Amino acid sequence: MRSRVFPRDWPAAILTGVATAATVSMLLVVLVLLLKGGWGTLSLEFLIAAPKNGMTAGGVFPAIVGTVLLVLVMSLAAVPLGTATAFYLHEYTGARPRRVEMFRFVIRALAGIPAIVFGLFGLAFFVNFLGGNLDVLGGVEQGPRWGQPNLLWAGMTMALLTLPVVIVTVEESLRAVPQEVREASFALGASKLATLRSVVLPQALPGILTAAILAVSRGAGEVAPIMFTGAAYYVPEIPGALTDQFMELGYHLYVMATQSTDVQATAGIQHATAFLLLVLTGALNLSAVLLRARVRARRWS
Amino acid sequence: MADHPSTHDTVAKEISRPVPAAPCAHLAWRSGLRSAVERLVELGLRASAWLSGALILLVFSFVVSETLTAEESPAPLQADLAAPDHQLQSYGADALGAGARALATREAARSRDPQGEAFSWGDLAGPIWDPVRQPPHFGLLPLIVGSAKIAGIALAVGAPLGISAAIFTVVFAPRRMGELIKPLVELLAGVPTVVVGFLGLVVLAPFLQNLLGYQFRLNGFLAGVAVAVAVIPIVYTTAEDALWGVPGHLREGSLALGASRWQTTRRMLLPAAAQGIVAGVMLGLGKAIGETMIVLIISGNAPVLSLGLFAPARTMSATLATEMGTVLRGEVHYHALYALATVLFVFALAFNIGGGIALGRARGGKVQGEHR
Repeated sequence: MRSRVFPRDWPAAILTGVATAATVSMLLVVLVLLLKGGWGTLSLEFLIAAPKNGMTAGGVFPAIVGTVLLVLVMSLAAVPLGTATAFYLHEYTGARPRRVEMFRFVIRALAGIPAIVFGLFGLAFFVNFLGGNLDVLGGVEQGPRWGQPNLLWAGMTMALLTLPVVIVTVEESLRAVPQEVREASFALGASKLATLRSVVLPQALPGILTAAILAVSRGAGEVAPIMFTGAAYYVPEIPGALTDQFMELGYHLYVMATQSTDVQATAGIQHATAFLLLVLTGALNLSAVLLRARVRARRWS
Repeated sequence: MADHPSTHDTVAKEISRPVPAAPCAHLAWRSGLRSAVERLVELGLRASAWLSGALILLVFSFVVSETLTAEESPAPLQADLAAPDHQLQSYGADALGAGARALATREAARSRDPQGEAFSWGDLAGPIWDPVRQPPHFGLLPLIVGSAKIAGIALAVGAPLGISAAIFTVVFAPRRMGELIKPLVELLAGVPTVVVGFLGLVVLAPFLQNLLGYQFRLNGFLAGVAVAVAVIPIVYTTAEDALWGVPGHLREGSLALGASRWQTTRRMLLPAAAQGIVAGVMLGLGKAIGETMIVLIISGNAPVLSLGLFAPARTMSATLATEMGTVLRGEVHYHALYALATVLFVFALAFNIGGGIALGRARGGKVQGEHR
């Protein structure tokens, strides 16, 4: 807003300014508090060692690997499905605005479902229904058991949670590709598919990447959906199959903070784990924000 | 080109069409195989979209169907019969200090006649939530009061902060500063809630107790304040969008008439953006109701019916997170938890859809071409 600031504006400006400072400084406060509490524990060993002595010492390596595997499984499900949905909604429904409206409404509603409800759904659908029936089909005695919480079901549950993020972000990047470019491609005789593949997709790729990063960041930070679908209290081994349970940073932090046998002794581990989780999700988020800013700046006008 | 007027016309039509609606399969030079691939891809994309859209129905129907007793849902029962010990397995980790209780519940479930026990939705009406009492009580009232109390506190703290910050960004902040504030708030939105809950436990809890001198270290007020951290970014982002959405010429007109920035804000910007701001608050409410990890860690987790701000509280979401790990599939408590999840689902959805509708209206009323 370009105008001078009247003296009688100052109270309002200062009041809202303080609120803004308080909001923004929360981020800094969180970071400083975690660093202060976890500085003594953060080390290379913390990153590459497994928990020791009943989780009162050692590192968080299995939890880091578990988190990475979880978001990997999640991305493999959520990114293709979300991207395909966004492409359909933006590129193939031009003649049907009402249908697009309906899809948007449903996807918004999906985004509003609490994470813990997804967790219960994952238990009922993936673990009990899909997994249970797979076990019946395959015979219980041989092979891995699917009817119990594991990496695959946790990843699928998390994919449901992050699907709306992917759809919305990819759609936004498709919207940034100017209509004229598509029309020029059609005018040259290119087919719909050729236009999408050679003209729209390359321009939308940074947006799809942003969507994937945002989804991973969101997925790495959520705990509620995986509590009953695959995360384990303590598994020293690295998960080797989709049917294995796994440790996860967020769940590890929750367990350590609320059920630790010795809260004093593990305070450092707790802070360091929280710091690690924050840095992981924060770095992903930051790169998504920067990437998005670049995509927006590149928009033709 | 004069020899092929029809092709020329078609291409011209294709160009003038604002959004290409269908694959241009009618172009004469396309081979049959290629057009088949085109159709296949479109079909695949459409199937993906319908699958994404259908997921919400899938979630709802499975959560609801788990409230029914086992006799009524045959497929999962088969799985149980095939694996006898499977039914007695509890989900989540027993080691979570609840092992003993889970064991007791397990014994109780063994001795109980599975046919005689059934969950009915009427069980949810009642003032007591106590699943281990005999007979168990599944009254939702204390949990709903707990959720409402904590969400109310979170909004009372978070909404003014978020809206004020949005006003500052749009009205008072220099441009560069405004461009910096927004991504910072987006980063705040990305802080995992389990980290917020953890800091609430080790830092905010002792701090607030020393400051206010209340009795219980973990209580509803503390949880509400911490949940506000998760609510602020939603309120801020939506309110900021709504404020920017007010047409610039209205703002400039007001300033040109000699109104100060604050007068312009109070008399023109805020009323014009009211619907968008209300939408932000409703979306924040939906988030606060569904928020799990923060309240699970620091609300005190006591399902007591109390209106006291500083009393320990238990929300619907935290109840699911605490008790799901201790129940057996098929027992009454299990069905009651899924009924609770259904209620939470409906609550959160109502606020989110309400917020979405308000947002749609706010955007629909916006004057075109004036954004930023």
